[in-house]
Amino acid sequence: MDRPHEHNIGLVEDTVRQISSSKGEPEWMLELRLRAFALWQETEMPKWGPDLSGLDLANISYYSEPLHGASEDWGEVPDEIRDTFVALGIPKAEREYLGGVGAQFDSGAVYHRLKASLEAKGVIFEDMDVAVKKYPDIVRKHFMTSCVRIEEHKFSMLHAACWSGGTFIYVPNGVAVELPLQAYFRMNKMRSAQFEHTLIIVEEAARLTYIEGCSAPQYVAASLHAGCVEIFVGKSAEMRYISIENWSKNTYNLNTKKSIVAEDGNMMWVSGNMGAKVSMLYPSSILLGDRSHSESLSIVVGGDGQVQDVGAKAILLGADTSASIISRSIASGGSVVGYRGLVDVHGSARHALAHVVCDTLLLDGESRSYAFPVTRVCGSTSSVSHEARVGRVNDDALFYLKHLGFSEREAMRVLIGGFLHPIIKELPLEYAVEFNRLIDIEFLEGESRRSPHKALS
Amino acid sequence: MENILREPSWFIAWKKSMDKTYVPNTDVAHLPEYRIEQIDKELELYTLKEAFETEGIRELVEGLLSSALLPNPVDEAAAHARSSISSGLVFYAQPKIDDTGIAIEQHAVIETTVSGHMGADLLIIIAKTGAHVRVVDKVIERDRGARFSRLCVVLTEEGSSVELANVVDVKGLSVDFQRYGLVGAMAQVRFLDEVASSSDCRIETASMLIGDGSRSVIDHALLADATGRFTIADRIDVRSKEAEGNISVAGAIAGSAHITYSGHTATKEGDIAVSARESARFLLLNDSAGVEATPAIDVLDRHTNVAHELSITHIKDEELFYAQTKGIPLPEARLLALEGFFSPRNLSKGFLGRLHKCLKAYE
Amino acid sequence: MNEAASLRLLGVTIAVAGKAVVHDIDIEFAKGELTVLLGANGSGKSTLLNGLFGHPDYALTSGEIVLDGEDITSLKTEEKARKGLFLSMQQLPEIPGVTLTNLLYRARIELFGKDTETPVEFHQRMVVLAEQFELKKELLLGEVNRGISGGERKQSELLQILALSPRYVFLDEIDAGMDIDMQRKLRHIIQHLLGRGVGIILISHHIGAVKDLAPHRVLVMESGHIVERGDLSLVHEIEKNGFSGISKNAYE
Repeated sequence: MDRPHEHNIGLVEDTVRQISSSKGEPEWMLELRLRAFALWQETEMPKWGPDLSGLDLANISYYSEPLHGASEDWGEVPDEIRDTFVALGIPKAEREYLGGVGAQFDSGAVYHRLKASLEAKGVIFEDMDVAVKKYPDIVRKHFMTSCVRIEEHKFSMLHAACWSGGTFIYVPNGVAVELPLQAYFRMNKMRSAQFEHTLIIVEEAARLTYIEGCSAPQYVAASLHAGCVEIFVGKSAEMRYISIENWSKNTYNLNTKKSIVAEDGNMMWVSGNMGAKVSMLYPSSILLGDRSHSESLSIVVGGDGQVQDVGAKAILLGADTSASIISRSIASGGSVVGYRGLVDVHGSARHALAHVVCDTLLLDGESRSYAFPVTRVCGSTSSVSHEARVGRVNDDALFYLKHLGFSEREAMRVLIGGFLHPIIKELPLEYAVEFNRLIDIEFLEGESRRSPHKALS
Repeated sequence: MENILREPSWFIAWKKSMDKTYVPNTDVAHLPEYRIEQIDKELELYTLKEAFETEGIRELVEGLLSSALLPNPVDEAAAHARSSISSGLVFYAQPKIDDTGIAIEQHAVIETTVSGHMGADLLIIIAKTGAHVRVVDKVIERDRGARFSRLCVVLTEEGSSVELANVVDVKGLSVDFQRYGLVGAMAQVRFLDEVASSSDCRIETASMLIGDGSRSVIDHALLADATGRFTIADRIDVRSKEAEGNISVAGAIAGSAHITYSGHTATKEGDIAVSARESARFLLLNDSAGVEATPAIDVLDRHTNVAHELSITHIKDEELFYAQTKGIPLPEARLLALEGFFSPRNLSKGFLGRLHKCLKAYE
Repeated sequence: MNEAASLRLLGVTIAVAGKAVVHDIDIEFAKGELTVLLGANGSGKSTLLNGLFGHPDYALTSGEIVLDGEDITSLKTEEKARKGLFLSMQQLPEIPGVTLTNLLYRARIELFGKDTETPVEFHQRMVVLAEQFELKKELLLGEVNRGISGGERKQSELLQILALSPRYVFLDEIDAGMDIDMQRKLRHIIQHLLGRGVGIILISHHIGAVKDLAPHRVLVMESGHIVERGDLSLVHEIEKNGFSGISKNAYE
């Protein structure tokens, strides 16, 4: 089978133009890309956070066009691609269980389906590329205008310049999408960059759960994932965004995720982060409307020398707003697992409440855990609290489990599972199963990789 | 430039190394003045000048200031402050044993009066093996608008302990403290302070837990009011086994004052049975008051247990109502809530009075 | 005694922090029999049990443990569990985020291998067992040892024994803090287990409760040694005269 058409290695203005023209984009989108590209060129790499020197920006392919157009039927999807998805283990019950699946092979949309009933209600679940052309007004109004701004940081600029693919979801007033919508991404090529853009608009009193899972096989060169997720939660609307990120161990995962929440709106981020060489992920909630609420639950599993610098941000602007951030991480295999968060309560956020808990289990002597939680409060009517604990597995608990018959490894598995339980229970069942399986692989295979004699015990 | 203060050349060289623009201080009229309110007779105390002239002590001072263990100034302002040091006190404590063979704590209470445009001094406390010292220093402002900076270095040998309490109650005096504790095996350094100010206040405190079983406590009681701008940075640097660190801050913020707080507990590989806690709480008394807090931790070894907690809140109406239903009028109820916020810390009369005034201003 | 069905301790010495605390213990436990271990606080009873099970703070420095003729002295804690030994400890740690049912289901897989019984079927079976023995069935869906009282933790231990079907059960002061009703339920469970051939070793301070249990054998420990061996009549004697009246055979 032919390799998809690759555009240049490295980013130059021509590439940006080619991306836009090959998609047949309207002029305004090209302008956006070019503006971002110019900013990207003048901006330095961020001075804080983990070491990104291994990221060779000049030698990454920024766009590859798929050879196949999107298909409406799973049966039409080419074998190679289908096999990839089967290997990833998309739940067999998908057909009955899910409303629709958009899947992505490299930077293009390959597979797309939407259940007729949702269409009838006015729910739009479309490839971002298609949406730009099909729903220009609404996309133009929201695409990197007020949620994630192009200027935000170097990688949002890069993203805006060469974004490709992704998901657009629109849920009209009052519509509750009962089944979670989901999509799979996969980076399947050496030196490829992934810049998908997800834009979700949930209108007044609507409800949506969206699941994003990623995985990529192991490759030698560093790949980059600089995607972007923008979510608009309308008045009294509810949004739950679930993502399991398990990029290959050579990926730099620098995703930007942000949500703006209107009055009485509710935003929940559930993230499971594993994989990737370096991750910098800070899902953010801007609680703009009065009485809006956000929750961020995240599990971070670090192994094999990874660096996970992740956290959450909550900016409280409206009155009676509240935010909760719960992060549980496990560090082993010489990894670095860090929490970096921000809770910013403005003077306008009268009677605001925020609570942050971050706990880390350090499983070995080579790993490192840090926490840099910044909390800003102005005004005398709010209450914010924060707790963090770093420690090791309780020896008494370990012995207790052993005396019931659990081996050391199994006992650790039980304790780790218990540690992560409060968050895993928020995941839909098959994701909880999948995530547990990923942890097992990471933890147990990692163990046997690092110390073969231990694996035999 | 004349060496009016007759400082040793190594000291001048040290100051020059801090700040290339260093010029010797010729404003001798406005050096900080010290008044010794009380001091145990066995506790040796030298002015900086006397220290330079006393064999044994001057070598200690030189050793401390040039030690690799002494952290570098965090920024230009701190470096400039060090280069401006032209006076100071050196405490040297030998162990004091009573008739039954128990080591007794030796005390000193001093007052530092700052006047003129700017004062910078050095406070050194050295506790020899088995000595226990407690020093209280009160900073008195004479002229508003003055700036005062101080470099404190505390060295504790094995089994000794030092408690340094800085009391600052000022309106217009800007204060900049850099305090460092070098803690030996089984020794303890406690930095306590009580600061009430309407002006700029910067306190940087770092304890290096060098010997096994060393311990350190950093404890602040803060009141920032009017246009006070506080920057508080605490650090406990664990470099040994079975070390214990405890950081605790209680700060009340009124007017349009602001406190920026950062706490950092860092441990390195090989630390075993380390226990570290950071606890910070802030009470915002006014809608223009603000705080930014970053209690950070960095753990490299799994044999440690580190925890931190932060709480930022306000005086709750329910609390006040509860007191009122017991017959306590609103102003007193507010004061009680404020005092309760700082407990179990014992506050000086001055600080309490300041809290009281602070609430009165915003009724 | 039939060697083929017994648990024997031969010359067992346990050390804590390098210092021998329990010395040269010789005991034989038979299946289906109740042995009660008595002694003042600090006599070494808990040390003996913890040392037998390989608690990291305790070291078995000499002696042997022989189960049905097989030397299991150097087996790891979990391996001893798989041989059918169960210890109910005094200090019961929390296992956050894990329900009791879930834990027991998984423990059974460790002990007996994968089964066709689903977790839901297992849970339902446990509920029936809990009701049969008047134990609080809500404990099954709660987090292990979390948010429950001391007495409830002991009930949780009893549920574990019923779920895991051990052959020899060591109960370290399981009746501590139990009220009369709970003691009755405990007695019932002990009798049920004995009837099924389980060997039980009970450490207790409740002399009255011990009498009601009619133990087959009674051992008294003092300063890390077994100083007296007997049967129910020994219990009567201790009840009358306390421990000091029987130290005459110390170090034999």
